Amino acid sequence: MSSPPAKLRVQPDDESPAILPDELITEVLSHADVKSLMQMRCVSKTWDAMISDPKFVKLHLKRASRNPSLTLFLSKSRIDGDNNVVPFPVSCLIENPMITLPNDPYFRLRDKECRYVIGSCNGWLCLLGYSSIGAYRQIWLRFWNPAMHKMTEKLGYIWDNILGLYTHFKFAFGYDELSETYKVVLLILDEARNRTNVQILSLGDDMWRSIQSFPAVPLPFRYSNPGVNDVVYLNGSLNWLALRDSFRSIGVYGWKNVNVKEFVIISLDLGTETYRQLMPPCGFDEMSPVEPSICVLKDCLCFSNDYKRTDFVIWKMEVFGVEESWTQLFRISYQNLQSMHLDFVDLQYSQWLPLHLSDHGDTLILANKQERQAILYNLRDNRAVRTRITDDIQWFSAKVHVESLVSDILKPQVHQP
Amino acid sequence: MAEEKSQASSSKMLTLKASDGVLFEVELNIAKEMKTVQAYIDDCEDIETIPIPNVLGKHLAIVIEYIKKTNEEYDAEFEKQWNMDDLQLLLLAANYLNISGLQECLCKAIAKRIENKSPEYVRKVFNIENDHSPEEEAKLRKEYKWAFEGVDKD
Repeated sequence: MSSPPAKLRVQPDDESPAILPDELITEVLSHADVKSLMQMRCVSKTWDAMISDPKFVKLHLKRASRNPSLTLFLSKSRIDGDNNVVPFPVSCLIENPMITLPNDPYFRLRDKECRYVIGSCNGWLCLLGYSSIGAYRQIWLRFWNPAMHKMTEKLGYIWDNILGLYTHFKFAFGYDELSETYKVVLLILDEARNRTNVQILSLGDDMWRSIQSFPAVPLPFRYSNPGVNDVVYLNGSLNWLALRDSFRSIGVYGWKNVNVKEFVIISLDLGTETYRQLMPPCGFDEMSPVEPSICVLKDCLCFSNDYKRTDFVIWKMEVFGVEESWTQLFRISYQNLQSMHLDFVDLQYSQWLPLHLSDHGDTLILANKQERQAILYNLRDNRAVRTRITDDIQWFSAKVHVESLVSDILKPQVHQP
Repeated sequence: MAEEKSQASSSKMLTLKASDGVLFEVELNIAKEMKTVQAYIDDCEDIETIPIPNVLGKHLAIVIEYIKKTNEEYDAEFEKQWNMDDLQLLLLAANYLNISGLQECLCKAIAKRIENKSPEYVRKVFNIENDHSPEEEAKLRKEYKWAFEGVDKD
């Protein structure tokens, strides 16, 4: 993946001091962190141009994606709505330090007039904030690249009237590679009309626009804050787990009445803005009291479910969109996931969410609803260890995030074919 | 990767000749990890000694050792033994010989050593002349003030 084409082969003169050609310098720099790269723009005019070049930004992003972080969402103070979001490198998390996250104002959302993180895409976080005016709320979005110290103004204003932000709205953030546009999608559950309306905001545009309504009922539908992971971004599409046809009232969630065959994955292509319906794995053939979920692991769409209250199963869609390519990735018994110190916790009735699979595939990071800490599961020796960060982190809101040099997301770039 | 080396073809030996005349006898499947050498063998099947005119004996030795031993643990410790000049010469060698794993390992290592260092330090490392005007540099330093905070001493 990093080997340059043959024509760039350079033959070093073994007597003079090594002078790396530009192609190799570019490759070296693509492994450097954003802070250092911004300093290195001062090295020379050539380096300044090299580092600002969109092709380099893309290359750097590709490398950075192999060394991602998880955004840890927590509250450092008792003030309501004063949340922090701290990008924490996965490699660091796996080493499992016992630490307390610093109370750095840089990571405070309140100062940015926001409360939640909707998603992360190419190094940019989509933040959501609101203010209450009587019985109504004015909601806005704001975009922030923490590595580049860049942030947009508040935009995408929306009013939340009878339908509530915490019960009827679902936001999602993604990127359309073809038009090089970042988009935010909003699902609005309209119980009265028995349907889910969908609006899209293309960053750079002033207005939200409506598209075809959602062909199913997205899950989960219960009171939850906007930052909770309920949508998956993968290669230019946004994906939700949903129930087809039926419309259940919020709060009354009789799982016993739900048939396995009602589950569907709705995939919205951000380029064409049309939907596709994907079936979950056929191996998921039995309902359970625990809700299944979807996530992305190793750049593939994954589906996870409880199996007979004995195991937690994760499936991987090897080829996106090809239902026959669902294969079982892991089957982990709850016994192996059990914590030594918390044996009163009923893991088999807990909802689980895989967060990340390490690069070499030997550590799976998972969260479960009943525990404060995340689980670092070693797939080689089937041992589970809890994380030891002392803060109260909302693991179900953790997003996979990378450091990127992408400095501008509002202007859709003119795409030259 | 280390396990694949003991295959049927491993009995055949090949000689590599470094730029300073030092000779290395290596197993064929080790030599094949160097795609440049592989191409050479593909062109002339009966060759026994392959000249490597751009790599000193001391660096070729290091490269060969890397190919033999590479794994996660080895790679993590590998770069610590070499100074910056050697790292750059090894990178040139890995690039010439077309060994992608080693090339990536070295790029990462060099990047790590120049991270959070001053621009003056980086210029010295790569032998680069500063062609920014003082105003241009001041402008960059001001715009990215946050990047220049907490820089490591040279």
